[in-house]
Amino acid sequence: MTTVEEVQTVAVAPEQQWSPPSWEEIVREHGDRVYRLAYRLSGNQHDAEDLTQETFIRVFRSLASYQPGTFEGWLHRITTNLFLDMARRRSRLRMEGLPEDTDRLAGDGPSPEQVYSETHLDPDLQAALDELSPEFRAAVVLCDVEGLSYEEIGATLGVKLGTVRSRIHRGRQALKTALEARRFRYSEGGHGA
Amino acid sequence: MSDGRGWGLGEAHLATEAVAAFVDGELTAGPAGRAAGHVARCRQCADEVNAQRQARAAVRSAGTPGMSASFLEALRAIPQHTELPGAPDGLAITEDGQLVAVQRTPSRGFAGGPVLGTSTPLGSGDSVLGGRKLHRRTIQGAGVVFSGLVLGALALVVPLDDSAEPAPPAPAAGDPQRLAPAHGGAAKFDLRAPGVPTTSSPLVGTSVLTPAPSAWDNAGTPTPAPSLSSAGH
Repeated sequence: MTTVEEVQTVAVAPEQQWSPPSWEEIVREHGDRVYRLAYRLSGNQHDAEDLTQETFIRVFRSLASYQPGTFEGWLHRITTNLFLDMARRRSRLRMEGLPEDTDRLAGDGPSPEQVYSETHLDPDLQAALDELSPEFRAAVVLCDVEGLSYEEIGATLGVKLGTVRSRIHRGRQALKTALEARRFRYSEGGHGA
Repeated sequence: MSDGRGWGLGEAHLATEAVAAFVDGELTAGPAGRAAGHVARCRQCADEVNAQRQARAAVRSAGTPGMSASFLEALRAIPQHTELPGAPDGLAITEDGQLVAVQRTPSRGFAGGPVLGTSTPLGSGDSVLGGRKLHRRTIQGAGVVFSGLVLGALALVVPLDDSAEPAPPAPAAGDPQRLAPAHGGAAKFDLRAPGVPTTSSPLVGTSVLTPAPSAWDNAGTPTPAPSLSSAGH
């Protein structure tokens, strides 16, 4: 009993200095980042919103068991893994020819021109990103959009450093090739830019 | 060291893995120096490095997609539409956006009963949960507990503490102090009395259970130990 009383005097002070963030604050502070990541990974607004929403729902549900660490890292992991799950599920569906998930299959999204008019994003860039395999895209986006270190990317994706390096390298190579191909097509007047 | 290397001797090109790492400054000093030396002399590797830089620049310079206002609203409203997991305790959001614990008792027990720390000022009843459409199950037989009262502890506690059964508000905790350590890591989130107007400090006059040792660390200051302050006694 006395020990408890002793402890209590110690413990009250920190609580006074510190207050936990409200949900509002969490959304305000992290929403944009999560959405940006989700958008670059998924390539369209619809999926980006789904991913972002699902990420925040998971955050909300597991706040109580949140382990100290960086909140950002946690969000990156959730968002990226949700995206990879989604991508795998869809590719499985495509292979099996069972389009149950009619929600949004590849190629079903808005055209690059629509994307641009809606979001003012470079449509070629997003289209080139979309051509990468999900794993490569995730590595490149985490690196070049989110600015994570290789180590952080490895932790986010659950892969070794060597894998991170080669995914980024090959992902960027493919991205550059895709960008050049698209720009070449446009300059040829194929799609009339 | 790097420059000293003979380059006429069929010097190895940069490993593919190393190219990106070199561009991103992810090589350690030694390898980075050797790579720089090689790239300076090797057209092929220099091209690879440039390709990496161009791709990186293209991604970096791309605009930032932004959320629509309506979607932002949807995110804000998540607490009102989201079922909490079946854990002993969870969190909910009050109208003013504070996180509070939602107690979910196993069907009986506290159902309908008052909850620790919820004497009138706090007991704005359901409105505490925003009065919005939180799922019934979340609310029913459940109480909102403020002031960092940890519900996991409560669950453990109730059967042991008969005096708490009728659960009159604060003092009903019987001797909550005794139980405080029992909750272990039940709730790692600090639960603060959300704007309790009548209580100048949430810490005074209420039973306050500070979070478990490994509490939320976002703002630093992990709390040393679970403890309870009942300044009101």
